[in-house]
Amino acid sequence: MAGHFIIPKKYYQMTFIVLLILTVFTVIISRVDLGLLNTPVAILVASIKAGFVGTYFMGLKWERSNLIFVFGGIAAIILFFLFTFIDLAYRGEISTQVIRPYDYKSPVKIIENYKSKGH
Amino acid sequence: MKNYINEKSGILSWLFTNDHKRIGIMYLFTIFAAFAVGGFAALILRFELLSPDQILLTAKQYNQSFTLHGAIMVFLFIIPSIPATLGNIILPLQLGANDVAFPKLNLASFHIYILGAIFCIASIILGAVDTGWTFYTPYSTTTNTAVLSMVTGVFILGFSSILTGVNFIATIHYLRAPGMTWFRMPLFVWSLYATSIIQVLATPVLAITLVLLMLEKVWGIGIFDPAIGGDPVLFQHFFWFYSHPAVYIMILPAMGVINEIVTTFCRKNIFGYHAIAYSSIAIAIISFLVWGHHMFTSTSEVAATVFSFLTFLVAIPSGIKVFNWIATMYKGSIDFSTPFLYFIGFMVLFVIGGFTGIFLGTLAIDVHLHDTYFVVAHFHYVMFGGTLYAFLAGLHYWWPKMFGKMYSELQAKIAYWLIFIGFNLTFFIQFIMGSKGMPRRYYTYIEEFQIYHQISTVGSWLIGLGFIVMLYYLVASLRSGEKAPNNPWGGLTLEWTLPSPPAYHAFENTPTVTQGPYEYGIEKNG
Amino acid sequence: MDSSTIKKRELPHYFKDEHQEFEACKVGMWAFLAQEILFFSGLFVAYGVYKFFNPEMFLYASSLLDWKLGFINTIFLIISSFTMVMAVFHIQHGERKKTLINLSITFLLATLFLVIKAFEYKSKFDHGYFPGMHFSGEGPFDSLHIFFGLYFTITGLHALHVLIGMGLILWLIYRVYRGNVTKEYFTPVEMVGLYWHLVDVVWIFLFPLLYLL
Repeated sequence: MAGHFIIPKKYYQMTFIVLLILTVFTVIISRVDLGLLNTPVAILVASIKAGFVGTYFMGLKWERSNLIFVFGGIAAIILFFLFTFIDLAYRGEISTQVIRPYDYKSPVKIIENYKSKGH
Repeated sequence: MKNYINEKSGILSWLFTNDHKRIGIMYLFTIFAAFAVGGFAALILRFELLSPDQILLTAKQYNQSFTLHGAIMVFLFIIPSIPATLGNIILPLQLGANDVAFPKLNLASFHIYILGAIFCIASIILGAVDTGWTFYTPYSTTTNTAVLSMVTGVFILGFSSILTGVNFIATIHYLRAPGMTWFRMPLFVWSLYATSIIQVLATPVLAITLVLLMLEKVWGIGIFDPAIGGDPVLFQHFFWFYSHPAVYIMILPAMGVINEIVTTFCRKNIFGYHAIAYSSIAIAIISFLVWGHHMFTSTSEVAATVFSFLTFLVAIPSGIKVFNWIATMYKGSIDFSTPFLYFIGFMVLFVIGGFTGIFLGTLAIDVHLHDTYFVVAHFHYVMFGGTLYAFLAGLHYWWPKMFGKMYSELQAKIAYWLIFIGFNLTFFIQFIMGSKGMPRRYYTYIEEFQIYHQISTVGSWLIGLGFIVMLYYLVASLRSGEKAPNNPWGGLTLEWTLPSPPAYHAFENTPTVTQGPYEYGIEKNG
Repeated sequence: MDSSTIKKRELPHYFKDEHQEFEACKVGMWAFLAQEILFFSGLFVAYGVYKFFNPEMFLYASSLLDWKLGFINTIFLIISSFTMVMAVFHIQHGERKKTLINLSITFLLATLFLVIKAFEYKSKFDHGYFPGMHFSGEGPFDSLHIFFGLYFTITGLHALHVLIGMGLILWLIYRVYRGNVTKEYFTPVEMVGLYWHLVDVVWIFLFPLLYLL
């Protein structure tokens, strides 16, 4: 294709080296126990690596318009996680305080101390 | 006169065509076949419900009937209906293009659809599924009916949908005629674009859900069955993450068709072009935020509250569109042909469906109405009264363009009224039944509900009759209908500049677009 | 076989020029990749949910996986992504031989990836860690089968995508060799390249989540 922009080799080579370094870093950082931050840090490093692959190997640096597909996909994933975890995190919290405005005898019995196991 | 239909003959020239118009026609026949099968299942199950005792189906067969009805109607009929038929044929023509971006992929989508349909239909013979079209676990992973066959079929159908979405996105981005900026595109195109976004982002989640379901059934992986450590509500999250946006895959193209109908038959420019275009995209985005409203009785209260609030948001763009359509009609010059009748029907029925959706989105009300006939009535009003009506409107509108023949207006109107009366008889009564507590998917019921069921069943017969009349006059139109002119309705979008039916290579010279799609001139004063 | 004897490729009738075709194909492929991202997302959500419910079990189970093999596999895929992108680079310059070499190395690395995965699976099976109902592994947790169910499902589906990618690369090697894919029309290489990078990206996330956490 005459005149089509060709990405210079140096970007590929640089990205390749960065990816190798970050992979080693991934293993090293996993040896350090950061408590609750373990998972977020691992995902962050992986995201940076993925970012390099996307930006340079997949050419997004020069094709801003196609970024929307990546962001769209990521947004959908975040929504999926977010709402599923809102459900999961608040399971088993059936209100023990029963509001009875009319003080009638309800046929429903509240099970005291109910805690759902979730697994 | 050579056109895309008579240009090449022989069944192989159709089955292996790359022409978007031929592919659309083939889809048209297959989805109507699917509609017939799904409709037949509905007639049978409604017949059984005439009495609380057994008439001709056992309880298990009843479960199989409503599962078949649901799965076929959703996956084989409604989801592909407008995009794969009207979209495939009309979208490139409205853009001034000679085909979609990837015609071979388009053909592949059709073949994949056929393959998926075979697996779904095969399940009927292998042990018809009785889980309901939602395949909830753990019943679906432990029942011995042919869940695997049906689920494989649906998985395959998902790819047909995804590839159509991919095709349309590329087509709309790159194959517009010169001068057709984004805001000069017909709104039908906007709606297909928004639909394609949902198809691409939501359908793969259905795919993975079904894969996990199959693995659970075959190998007992332990993701959804509590007996082996799984979580059944997780299945519901996974399933509805797709299936809620799926209903917008159903309604967005329908709303797109409506834009075309209302402008042409009121001979007036659309009111609020930008608002409608943006609201299509807004619906696509918001549709991903609300899936939990199908799970109000099974998620945590916190999640349910969040989802209830978000559900109200999704009605706003739809409401914007409805108001814009009404404003478009105001002081228009109205032509009451069949497509416009279906438009009016859509406005009435979709609004009823939409309002009842708000009732159901209200958490405190939904806990009482969940899994009752109220829900059944709601979704039939939006899917049948909404999507199917818009599909029929589009079918009758573009029929002359697609086939070069006119149909009988009188017979079309007879069918219309049979369907309209039948539909309301069948489903309005279900709102009442549901609010009185009649649960859905129940084989039997208490005495007091019998009269409602009987009225509903009679309504279903009228619907069936209406469609038989429709089949009759459409077939008659193909065989001996009056030859259609290029532009029988006076539409201004690009497809009406072509002969009816168009040639294989529709646009000899690529048109140049200099104005919007609905420039009907100055509105008449009074 | 030199390019002067090959007929110049005919542009499909509905495209106005090669540039439009190339850009349309890219957008189409990106839309497909967005779909692939969402396909794997379900698996990540399932993983996240069960890790949330069983944090200690997951910690124990991931120690049963050999992180060194996972590390080697990650390196293999990263190198293969590099050779894939170099294949695109070379075909853009019309350097057919170098393109074929890079595509072949990519294919080879993918094969090595699958070989190592096969060894990993075998060693799991030897301990009785089968997916689902055939699970017979012993351990301090009775929900261990959930981790392995997810492990086999996720890595299995990923491996399937690697296999599909390998098929596509073979097809590319054939077409480049025959001269159907050239400096003028290298769209297929670009498209397969995009797909291959996505397969790499999915593994980049899988490696730490399954092996290291």
